[in-house]
Amino acid sequence: MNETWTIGIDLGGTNIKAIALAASGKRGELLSVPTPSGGGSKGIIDGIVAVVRQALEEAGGGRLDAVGIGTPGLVDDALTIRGTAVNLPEWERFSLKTVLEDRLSVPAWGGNDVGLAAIAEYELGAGSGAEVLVCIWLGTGIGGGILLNGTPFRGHNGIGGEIGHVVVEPGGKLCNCGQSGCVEAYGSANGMLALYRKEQSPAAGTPTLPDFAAALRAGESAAVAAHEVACTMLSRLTGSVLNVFAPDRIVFGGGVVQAGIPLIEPITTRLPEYALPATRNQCTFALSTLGGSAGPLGAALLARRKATER
Amino acid sequence: MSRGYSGGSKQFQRQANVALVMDLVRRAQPLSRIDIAGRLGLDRSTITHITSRLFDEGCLRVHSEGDATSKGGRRPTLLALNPAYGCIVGIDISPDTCRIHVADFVGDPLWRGSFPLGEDASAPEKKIERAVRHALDAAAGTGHPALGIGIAVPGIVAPDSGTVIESRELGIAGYDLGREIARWTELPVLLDNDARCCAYGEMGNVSAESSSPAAGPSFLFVMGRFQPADPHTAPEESLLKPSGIGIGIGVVVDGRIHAGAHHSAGEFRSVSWRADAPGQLGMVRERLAHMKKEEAILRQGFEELLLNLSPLVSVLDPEEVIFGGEFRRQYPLVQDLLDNELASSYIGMRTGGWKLRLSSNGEWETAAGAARMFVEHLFAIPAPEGRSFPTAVGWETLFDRFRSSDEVRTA
Repeated sequence: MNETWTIGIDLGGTNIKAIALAASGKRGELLSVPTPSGGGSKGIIDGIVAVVRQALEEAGGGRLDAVGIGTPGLVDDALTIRGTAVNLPEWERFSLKTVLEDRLSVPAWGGNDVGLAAIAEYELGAGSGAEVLVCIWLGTGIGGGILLNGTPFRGHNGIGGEIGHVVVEPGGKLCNCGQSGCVEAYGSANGMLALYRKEQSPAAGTPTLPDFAAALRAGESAAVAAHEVACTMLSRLTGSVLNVFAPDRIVFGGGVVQAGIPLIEPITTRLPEYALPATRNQCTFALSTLGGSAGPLGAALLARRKATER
Repeated sequence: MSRGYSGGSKQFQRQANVALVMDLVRRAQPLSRIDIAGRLGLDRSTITHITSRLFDEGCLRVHSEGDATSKGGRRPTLLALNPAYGCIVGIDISPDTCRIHVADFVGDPLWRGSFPLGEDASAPEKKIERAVRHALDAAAGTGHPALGIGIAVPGIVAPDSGTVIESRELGIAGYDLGREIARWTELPVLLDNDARCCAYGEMGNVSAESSSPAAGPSFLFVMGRFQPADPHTAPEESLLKPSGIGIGIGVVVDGRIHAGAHHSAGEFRSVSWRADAPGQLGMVRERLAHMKKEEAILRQGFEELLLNLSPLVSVLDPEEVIFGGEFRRQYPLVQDLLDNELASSYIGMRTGGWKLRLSSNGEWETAAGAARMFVEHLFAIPAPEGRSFPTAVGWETLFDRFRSSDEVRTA
């Protein structure tokens, strides 16, 4: 019997991930293809359309009812890209909803990539049952997703949850956004690697995230020093989030978590300096259980929910 | 589409529909019975029954006669809340002073005043009792019967249970303040922390059409109060007993106060804070102690606060950021910092479309907010699962209380 599928997409600076979710709850395999480079926003849209069709085909075919997509950068609930995305060329100020619906002839919904991952973690993963859930995603940059009693928190203008540019070290490292001392400059994958390179000898080459994780496991002093700085800054971010939102669950995810870099213990041991006892003692901390599937699954869940509401 | 309740028990439906009528009249008065029925999607007979009862209880009054219909029918009677039904008492308790704001049933101020509570910190419960007695005397002087009390307390408060979890400023912890005051006043009592009460105080300053429990305003209220530096405060306790200036944030999301999973949302600590800093900022004790009197130190402290606030505003993406307390009193300094030293830090915030402004209630912001908190809970629409039904306040509770008292009110 032909299934009706919703395809969830997670658009990243490096890869486009996709997953098919059936009305029955059945899931397809997670697909990951490189994000097209050199073709600007049109090339990226072509890549998204191709991966949607591939995901549908690999799921066994059937009817496509909707598409959900998570995208980095400032994006509102109407799926309009309102600002620039540092890691995606020409990805600014256009209606992604209009473009995708024209190309795929099905309704498209979506939003901030980590906001969607938070929906998946709340419904299917480590955030299940949380009254106030905050997801902190450490990838190329740092993103945040906040759910209040299961409802995504997006702020008045639909662009809330941008935690990557919380200043944790006034006058500190220059961030891609132009400010100094943003947590993203320290605690993201790129931030950690930059700290690691600074601690290494100039002849050490250009390490990758797996290299950094391996060096950390081996107790290499340069890696340990970089990790300590990164976790101190992440602890300051976590403290600010705890003080303002008082969540009962914080879930860490993204490429840094998937690379096996320790986070929870080094962050929480530093928290007494930054967070009120009542907020830190009543919050539990967890790693994402959905891994790389969280973003596309959350996108599919949102699109399914919206399609049902219509 | 009907907004009336059809699920749950009959008793719940009745309570919920009374709450819907009262909430609508508050937001859009004066209204005719036909208007109310149309807007709520309920039968006219149901509305006639409910409004008759609310008339009998004394909380609705005839406002005027409306325009005749195009067919020349009878002019409809327009209904409004009866301000004389009763008053709400708001109390702002700080270590040495209590401020009192008595509001009528519609929310307009009837009386405001403050009383010194003395420096003695040995019997905080007695001090609070004294503040409440002052407030009830003031309310009695207005000639309106008191409907309930809202109390603002500095510290961590559990509003659901009326418990002060910890208030180092007042020297109380784990104290069922709400229950205790309710016991001897025989009035419903609600309490919350001071910054959140200030945020409640701003809820009445949004337009009637845009404000509803489903999609109300989202804003931050940033509250600052000077406090004496305490030489005995250990660094690890500094967040609980701030020195120099105490900072709290009231977070409102979609028209609802966000208290967090455990009532402690809205706390603040600077990322520059270090173990030798006794307050919430990164300043050492010697500088903090002189913050109130030395302009250069005050400027440094405000700059640090505003720098820390900038990314939080990006995270919360509010409609407005409202300054109260010392930030209200020193607003020219706030504006000067935003226009100069912090201009680049706030670019992202300004493009987000939010507005900066001062609190609407001036020095009475906390006491007026405490009264508004009571009003907001009184007019809250109960949810079927009971989550949003206030523990101590509800129309039926209020009617029962008045029915059993000797007080007589006329519409």
